[in-house]
Amino acid sequence: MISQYLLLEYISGTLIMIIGVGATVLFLGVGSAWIITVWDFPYKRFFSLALMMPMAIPTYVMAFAYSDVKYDIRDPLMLLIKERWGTSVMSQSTEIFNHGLAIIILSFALYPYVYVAARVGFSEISGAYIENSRLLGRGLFRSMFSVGLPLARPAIVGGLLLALLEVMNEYGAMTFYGIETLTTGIFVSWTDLGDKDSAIRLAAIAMVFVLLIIILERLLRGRAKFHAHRSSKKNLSIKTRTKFGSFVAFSCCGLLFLFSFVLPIANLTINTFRGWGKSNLINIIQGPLVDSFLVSLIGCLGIVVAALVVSYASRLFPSLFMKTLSKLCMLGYAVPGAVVAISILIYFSGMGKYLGFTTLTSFMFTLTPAGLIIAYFVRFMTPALAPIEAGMTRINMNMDEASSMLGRSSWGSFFKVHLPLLRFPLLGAMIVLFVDILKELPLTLVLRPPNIETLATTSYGLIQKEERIVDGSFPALVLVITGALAVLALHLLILKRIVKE
Amino acid sequence: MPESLKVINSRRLSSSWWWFAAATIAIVLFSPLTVILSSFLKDLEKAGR
Repeated sequence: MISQYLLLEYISGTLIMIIGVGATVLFLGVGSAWIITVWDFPYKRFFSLALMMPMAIPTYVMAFAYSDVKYDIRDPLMLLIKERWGTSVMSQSTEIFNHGLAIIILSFALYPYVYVAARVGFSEISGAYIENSRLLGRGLFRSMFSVGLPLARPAIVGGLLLALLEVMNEYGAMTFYGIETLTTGIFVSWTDLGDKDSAIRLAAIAMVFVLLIIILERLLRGRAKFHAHRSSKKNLSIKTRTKFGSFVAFSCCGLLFLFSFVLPIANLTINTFRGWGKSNLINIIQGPLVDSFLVSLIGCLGIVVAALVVSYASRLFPSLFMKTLSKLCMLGYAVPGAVVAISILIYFSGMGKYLGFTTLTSFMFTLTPAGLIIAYFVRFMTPALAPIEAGMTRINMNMDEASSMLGRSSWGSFFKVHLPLLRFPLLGAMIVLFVDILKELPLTLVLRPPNIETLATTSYGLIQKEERIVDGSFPALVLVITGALAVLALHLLILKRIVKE
Repeated sequence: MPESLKVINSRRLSSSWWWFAAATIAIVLFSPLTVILSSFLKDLEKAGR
């Protein structure tokens, strides 16, 4: 069984990362959203989209892209500290450096969750509030704290929740920087030590952490009700333009974009070109590319169909029971991938034993990727169900009644009325799901059959396990390009919908 | 049975398929997570003793 010391180490590591990343993403996300909303400066429209782009970079790829900091800055610095102050100071400094670096790098990848949420929150606020605040003598900066932040709090806290859940789920970046968290602990107990009980115990503690984060989010939202005051047509977009202000706003957004998107991509591209002549990168990537796209496509189509069934059933039977079922389906998104993986493994091996069908485990996890696909269903139902349910609620119930009066059954209404009206949310859900599955690492590492390698596992294996950074950069770059295309496609989809409406 | 009632019955039957499908999906998705939840509850029970 896992020792008390290790358990405390995992819990403190997780807490440090949650608090550190939480504070940093709030600072970066809210700050940049405020600048974009209230300041008028050159290339503002470009930055409003560009600052979302780091969403396309998986957190572990961001960590790999900054591997130079680890090898070229940290290691020489720690050697210097060792020579000057001895080994114990060096080991403490290494730990502090690793945590700091991991917090900054995870924040670069995760701040867009808060940025997007804060932009939505700020866009709901009427500009009259800020105008009043300024008339009463407060500057733009103080108005953000006294008026903007309190009114946009529910949206910002929602974005923060997503970022923190990603921190709980993170495995690749944590192992790359040697940080021990509950998720890495689950992996060590399960795969390295073969200690199933400890892995389950850690998974249960991770679930409690997730529950606490969700409770904290509810508490932060508070009981207060927030209503957007839309009587004034003017939104919160004050055209403030001074030379100094424009320079500061441009520099802040430019630096953030540079460090969170341009530099990581440039580093991965340079590494890929360096490796092009040395190793046969096409051979390295061929198999994983096909496997990745196949698994993602099957998972994404299956999940969308399941989400359609659940949301349409909730519409046909609008009872508390159905609402509860739909919430149960969404539970998996809050649970870290490593916990889902262990649950699936234990559940199906237990079921195989109970039914006397001993080959079930090998069928699910060794011969076919069935176990992996089911795990994707458990983990990624929410990104499909949420937009589809929202789309369903926008369809007027009169449509169902009219369709029924004209003689269509529930199946006929679904295919002829609801499905065509749901094409926008469906397409959006499929794009998000495809990319989410493509970049999922912990689940795929545990549950993939031996003959399946995805882009994520290949990149992780080459960079983390074999330290072949140059070779591993190419699959990581392909992941990032796919993610970036998906973010652009989503943006275009939303624009098209707004224009249409 | 009148023709209109037959139509209503057949429509109800076709709707109930959606209910069963949704319930099955929810059970399949939620039941693996109960493994961890039950282990946590057992731990809590042990700690309580």
